[in-house]
Amino acid sequence: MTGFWIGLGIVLVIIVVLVMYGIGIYNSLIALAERYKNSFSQIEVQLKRRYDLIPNLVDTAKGYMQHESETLENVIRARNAASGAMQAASAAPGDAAAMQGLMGAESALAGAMSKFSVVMEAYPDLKANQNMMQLSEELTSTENKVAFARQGYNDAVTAYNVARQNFPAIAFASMFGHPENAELLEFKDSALFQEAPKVSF
Amino acid sequence: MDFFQQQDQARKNSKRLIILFVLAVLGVILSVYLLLSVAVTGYNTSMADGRKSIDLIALLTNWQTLLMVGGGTLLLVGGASTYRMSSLRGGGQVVAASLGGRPLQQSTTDRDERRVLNVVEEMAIASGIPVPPVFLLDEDGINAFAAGYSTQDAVIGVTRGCVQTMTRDELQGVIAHEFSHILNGDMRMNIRLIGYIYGIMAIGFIGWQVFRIALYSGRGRRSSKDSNPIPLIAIGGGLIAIGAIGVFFGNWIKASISRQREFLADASAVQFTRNPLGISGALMQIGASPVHGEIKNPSAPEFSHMYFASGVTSMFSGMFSTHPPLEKRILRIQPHWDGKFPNRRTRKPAELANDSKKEKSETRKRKIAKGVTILAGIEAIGQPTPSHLSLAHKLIAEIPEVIKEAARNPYGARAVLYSLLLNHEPTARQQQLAQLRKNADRGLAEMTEAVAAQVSKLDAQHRLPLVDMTLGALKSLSPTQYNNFRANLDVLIKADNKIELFEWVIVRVIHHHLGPPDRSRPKYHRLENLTSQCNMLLSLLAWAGHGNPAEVQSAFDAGAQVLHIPGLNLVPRAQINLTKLGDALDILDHVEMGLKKSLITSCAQCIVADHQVTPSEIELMRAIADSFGCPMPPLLPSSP
Repeated sequence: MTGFWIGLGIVLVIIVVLVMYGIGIYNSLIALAERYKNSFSQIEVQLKRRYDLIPNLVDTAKGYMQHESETLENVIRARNAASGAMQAASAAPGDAAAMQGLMGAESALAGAMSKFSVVMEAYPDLKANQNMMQLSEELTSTENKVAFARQGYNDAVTAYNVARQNFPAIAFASMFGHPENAELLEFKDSALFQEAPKVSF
Repeated sequence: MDFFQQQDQARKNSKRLIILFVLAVLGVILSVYLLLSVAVTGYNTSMADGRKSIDLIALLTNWQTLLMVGGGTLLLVGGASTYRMSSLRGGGQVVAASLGGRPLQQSTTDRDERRVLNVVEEMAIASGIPVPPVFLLDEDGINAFAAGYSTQDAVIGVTRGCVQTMTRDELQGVIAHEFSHILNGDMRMNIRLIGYIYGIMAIGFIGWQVFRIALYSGRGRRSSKDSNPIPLIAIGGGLIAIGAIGVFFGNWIKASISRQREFLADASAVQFTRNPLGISGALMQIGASPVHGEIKNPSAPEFSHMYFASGVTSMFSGMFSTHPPLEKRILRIQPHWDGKFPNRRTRKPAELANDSKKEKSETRKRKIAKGVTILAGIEAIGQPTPSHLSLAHKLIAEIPEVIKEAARNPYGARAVLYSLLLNHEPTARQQQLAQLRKNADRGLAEMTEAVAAQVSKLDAQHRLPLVDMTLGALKSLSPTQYNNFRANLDVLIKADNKIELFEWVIVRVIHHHLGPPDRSRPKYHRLENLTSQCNMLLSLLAWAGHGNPAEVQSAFDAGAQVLHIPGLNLVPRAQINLTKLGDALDILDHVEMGLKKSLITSCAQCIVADHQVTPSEIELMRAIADSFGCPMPPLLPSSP
């Protein structure tokens, strides 16, 4: 008789322990996923700010660079593409395709911007323009913030990926709705106005 | 009732709660035992073809079985409760995340979001706690909640419906209500409640499992004579029923405690804002809205007792509602209310220009004379008044926009704190900046320099509120970033080879709020064994604010008198250092609430002994109160 009770007790305890353990893994994965998604929204705020600044920059430059309209158009096009890519990414932060898209668009934008800054070297008046100086300073500080927020995001993604791949979490991760690693976000640090590229002839 | 009594009261309530809970668990154990006994007897009876092999009465009186069942049930309920509470240890962020909340960015440009953040910021500065992160729930219902373990990890949540329909006054009432939950120690109790009920629910859960196993085995091995699924099905069903009954009583306990705390929070909200129209208006809006306070998230019921208004409609109103009826709450605030809800408002009425204008004129109306009473500050711990609110509003308004913008995002918040630590002496300052350029993130040194130019113009009384503002943003640093930040703080402080009092205060406050939270219970109920710690604390205060030895001694005596314990002696200046003070404060943090009040009072007496209170003494005082977990509002200038 006692044997039955002990058996039942042991089975119950084992069930409880297993279930609790599973719930623990489930919850911690959710919490970590939540954290990296939140970190992405920090990047988003700064990127948005940057995408707002770029048209102002181009407008200011237009008056001085009539003959460089192609460069300016490239910047605007790259900016629009990056803005679109960011919206896609913010709908699904951590998703590999969306993140790759954002990285690609960002590097195209960085390319267009660096071309712009090379061209700008030829217009000392523009460089001395008060409005231009202010805008470029703000752009630089926004880029610093993007880099910082990106670091925070990557830390959170790494923590999530590590937790997901640990044993025994890896065995349940797909079942719990975490089938894939989240994607890190790496931008080529554009650092536009910090070190203007040297042009050699 | 002051802050300390409220905290004690909350603890007493928790004790009552535990007793009720233990009774509920005992009831559950007995029912489980009864159920299993009957099931086993039935099983044996059917096996033995009608011959009664085991007497039900004999089995029921078998204490060994009782012990076994009792132990098992206790283990299960206790384990599940502990588990649930530990999963909520992450604090308010976890609760907000499980309700689907999205943290509001301090740098938001949305006007409604900005307004909530401003109201929360003012309320936090007015009550002297770091600005808590605000989460937005994407729900149409009008509701709000505060969650967390202590002021260190508190968060505020608001629904979109709430943000969009409320006027600023109403919003202020709602936020004040939530702050009262934070300051009255309700949040800790809320988390306990969730844990306990989860524990009882686990029994029902096990019941479901047994039920399913029984059905499965019944289908799979129908031919085998040994397995008769009926008892297992009965056991499963019974456990489900017991779980349900347990949850029934659990929810009843939860509701009865929660309703009292809601009335208290409403009353406190009126006290904080002295504007009954704000909170009653908010309640009326909830009544008028077709969705009321509904929160649709599937996890909503578990947190039902945390909301501003009932977020979940329950079948049995009255006994099980975690909130008193809206009408009753409004009538307590406005006894002459006619019982009619106003017309439904879908969006808040256009308020005259931006809301700060109206308040500014209010601030101006209040006469603010010179002079400071630090003792009144102790009364205000946990109970900010409208004067504190308007002072907070004024302080925030006086801080230049550049600094505020920096303080509100995690990138710039670090620059603000670094700039507070910069030396006034140019060479030392350059050295510090050089260190920052080397170790800190790109562009941060330049930003620090730019911010410092503004920060140095600030009054001393802005400094701690500014630190409080940065703490909210700094909470979103990743662990790596936080460690780097702490390392840089240390470098800045040690650059001149001496630690100033204010530098120590900043590090103390930051470590207390951003470091790992300490949640141990009060360990000391008497101060007698802690004389050396009390000596260190009072001696430092005495030496910090007084010049000649006679004054120091009399200041020390003034403080020591309050404590009523023998063996207090002034520590010589040479033996005092801030590390020892930090250690002493860590130990004194473990005394019970009533004793903390005497400690804080004695510190204040020590400071005012010479009738002169310097800004650095005020900062020190607030840092000490803060490390005791007693948020002290900024001191009101008052007439002498």
